[in-house]
Amino acid sequence: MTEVLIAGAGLTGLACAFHLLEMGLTAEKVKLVDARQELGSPNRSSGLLLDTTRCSHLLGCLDGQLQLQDLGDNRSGLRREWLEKSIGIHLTKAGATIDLKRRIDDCESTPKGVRLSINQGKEAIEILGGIGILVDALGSKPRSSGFPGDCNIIRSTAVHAVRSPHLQDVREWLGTLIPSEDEHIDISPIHTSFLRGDGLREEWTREPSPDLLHSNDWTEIMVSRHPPKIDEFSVDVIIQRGTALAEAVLSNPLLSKT
Amino acid sequence: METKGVGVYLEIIPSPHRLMAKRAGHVFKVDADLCFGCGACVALCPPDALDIVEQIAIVDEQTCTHCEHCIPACPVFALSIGLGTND
Repeated sequence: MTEVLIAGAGLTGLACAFHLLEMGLTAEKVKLVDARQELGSPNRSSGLLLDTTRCSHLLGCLDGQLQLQDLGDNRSGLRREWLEKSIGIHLTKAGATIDLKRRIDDCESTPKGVRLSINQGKEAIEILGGIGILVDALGSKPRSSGFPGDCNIIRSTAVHAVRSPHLQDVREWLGTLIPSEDEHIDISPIHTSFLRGDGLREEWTREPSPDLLHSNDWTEIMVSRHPPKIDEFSVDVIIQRGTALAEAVLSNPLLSKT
Repeated sequence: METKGVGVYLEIIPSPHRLMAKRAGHVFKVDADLCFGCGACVALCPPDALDIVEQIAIVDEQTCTHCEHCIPACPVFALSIGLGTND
């Protein structure tokens, strides 16, 4: 029976679910849903860790496929997509459910609790009264229209919502992947370039130079919307955000501890 | 003359089912013990032959062209094409 429904199976939601399980919540009570058809956000986010010590426990619990590139000063580079998949493997092995292609589009109070309508009414998720907690881990993406923001349902005793901070200010970032063994690291708030553990050099910039735009060396181009500074969406910061959401869930008196 | 060039007789059929050659007796396989339903294959599939049902990838063998796009994308190496049946 689902007690904690996490909306968004990106790194925030996955880190949130990971921490809930680490703190002893039964995996069967945790469900992640995502409107997209793949968990995580491949080639959409930087794989830079600005402080590995912030998430060393999580990294230590995953298998050895992460290929962390040590960048010095506790910084590391990895392929973020593999990190997200590795957390997904860890969660599903533990018994948590990750349901993809499910967009929450409506919710209503029922005598038993709350009923979430999924995919324009084709499916429904029931969260039973008194214990259901919705976690909004939707990051910089627009929230599902049916996610019960400030509606009456949250003020009732049936379900509580824990929301990630809404990112008001998001900018377009351009990312590139270049095969390179160059270990030089360059980090400024609006530009970063570093080597990942899989032997590719990842470069992110908010203001792409003509040289970069006309380079033929790329193996991949990534365009995405993120907060204005690179240190606001590095891997460790996002994991910390997920962990904070989990802590808010765990401190909710409605959550049954058994 | 009608027999000039082989290309004259090649007919391009605008269907993904016809353009890709499937090898006889080969099927697309998902190792259900490895697959955890991350959806990486679903996102890549050109003819949309894959879906996730109860956290396992399933394939519509009629729609699948055996193009192998998805196989290197699988983080747990659960996908393959080989002799046999889907059962």
